[in-house]
Amino acid sequence: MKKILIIILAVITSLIAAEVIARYVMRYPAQASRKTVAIIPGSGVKSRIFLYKPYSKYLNIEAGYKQFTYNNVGVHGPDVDLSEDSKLIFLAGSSFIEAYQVPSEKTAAAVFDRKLKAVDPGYSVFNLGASGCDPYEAYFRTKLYTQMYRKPDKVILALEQFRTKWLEQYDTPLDFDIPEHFGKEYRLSKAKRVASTICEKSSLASMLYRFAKKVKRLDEIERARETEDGPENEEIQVIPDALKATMRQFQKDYGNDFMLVFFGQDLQATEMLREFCDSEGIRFYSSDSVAVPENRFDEHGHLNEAGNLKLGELFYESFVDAYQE
Amino acid sequence: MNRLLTRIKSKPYLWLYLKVTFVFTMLLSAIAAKALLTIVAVESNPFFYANF
Repeated sequence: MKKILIIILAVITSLIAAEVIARYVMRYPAQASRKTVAIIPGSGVKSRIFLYKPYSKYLNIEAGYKQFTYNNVGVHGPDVDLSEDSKLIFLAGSSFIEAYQVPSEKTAAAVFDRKLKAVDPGYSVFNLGASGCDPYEAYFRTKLYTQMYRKPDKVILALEQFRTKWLEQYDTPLDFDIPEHFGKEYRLSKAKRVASTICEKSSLASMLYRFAKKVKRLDEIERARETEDGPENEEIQVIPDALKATMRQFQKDYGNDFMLVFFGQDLQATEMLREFCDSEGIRFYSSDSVAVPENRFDEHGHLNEAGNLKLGELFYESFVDAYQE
Repeated sequence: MNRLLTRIKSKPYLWLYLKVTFVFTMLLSAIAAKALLTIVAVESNPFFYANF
C-alpha cells in the first residue's frame, strides 16, 4: 500500500516537472482563455466562434516559434479605443487580416491605425480578421462586436479570394437575420469543458491537445505538397451567389460606410468584383501587388511583415480616397 | 556523490520515489518533445494553411 502511494506521489511530481519543462524550457504557453459564442444561423460548427480573454498569450509557428499577446479586446492587432468619441473602423476578413504571424504592431490593421491616427488621433481600427472567417461569418462578426461594444463608424471587408468552398458550407439562400441564440455562450459538453479548462491551466495539456489535432493532418499536408495545391490556387470562374448576397447585405446595413478591398492577385477576379461593386454602388478598392510571393511566408503562406505593411498602406490609401473631406 | 547515493539507497521508499519520478519525467518530456516537433513541422508548412 505504501509503495502504491509513493508511486502515485512520484507520478504527480513528474507531471509537475514535465509541466515546468513545457512552460519554461520549451516556452509553450497554455491555451488562451476563451469562450465559444454562437453567432451564425444554424447549429453546425460554423455557427460559432471563439472569443479570447484580453491580453492572453498564444503561440504562432508559421513565422518562427513566437509568442504573442492579444489586445485589450482579445483580438490580434492594435489596442482599440472604445470611447464614444473615437471613430471606430471595423476591419473584417480572414486569417490574412488577423495576421497571427507577425507582432500586433506589425499587422496591416496596426499600420492602418497608425497612419490614420497621424492624421486624426480619433480613429481606431478594430481587427476583426479571424482564421477561416469567410465573408458571411465576417458579417455576423461585425454584428457581434457592435452588440458587445458599439456601432462602427466605418466597415471594411478585405478579401484575397472569393472563398467559394467556405461559403458552400452554408444553406442557401443565406439567412442574414440575427439568430435567437446570437452572442450567447455555446454550451459545450462537460468533457469538452473539462478539457478546455485543463488546457487553459496547463502548457503540457495544451501542447498534447494541439498535437492530437495536428497529427491527423500530416498526410493531408503531404498530399497538398505533392500536388502543389497551394492556398492561393482557388479557381476563379464566377463570383459565388453567397458572396454577392453578403456584399449586398453589408452595403444594405452600412451604406456608404462600407468598403470592399480586394488584394488577391487574380486580375480576372478583381475585374469581376469591380464590375459587381460598380453595379451595386459599393465602394471598391484593389491591389495585386500585396499578396505577391515575396510578401508571404515561404511564398505560399500568410503575409509577412512587408506584406502587412503593404496591405496597411492599401487600406489607408483606399480609406483616404473614399472618405477624404 | 557515492556516499549520498548509498544513503539514498539505504532508504528504499525514497529510492523508489526518485526512480519513478525520474522515469516518468523523462517519459513525459519525450512525449512533449515529440508533440512539439510535430506541431512545429505541421504549422511551419505553408500547405497547412491551404484550406484554412
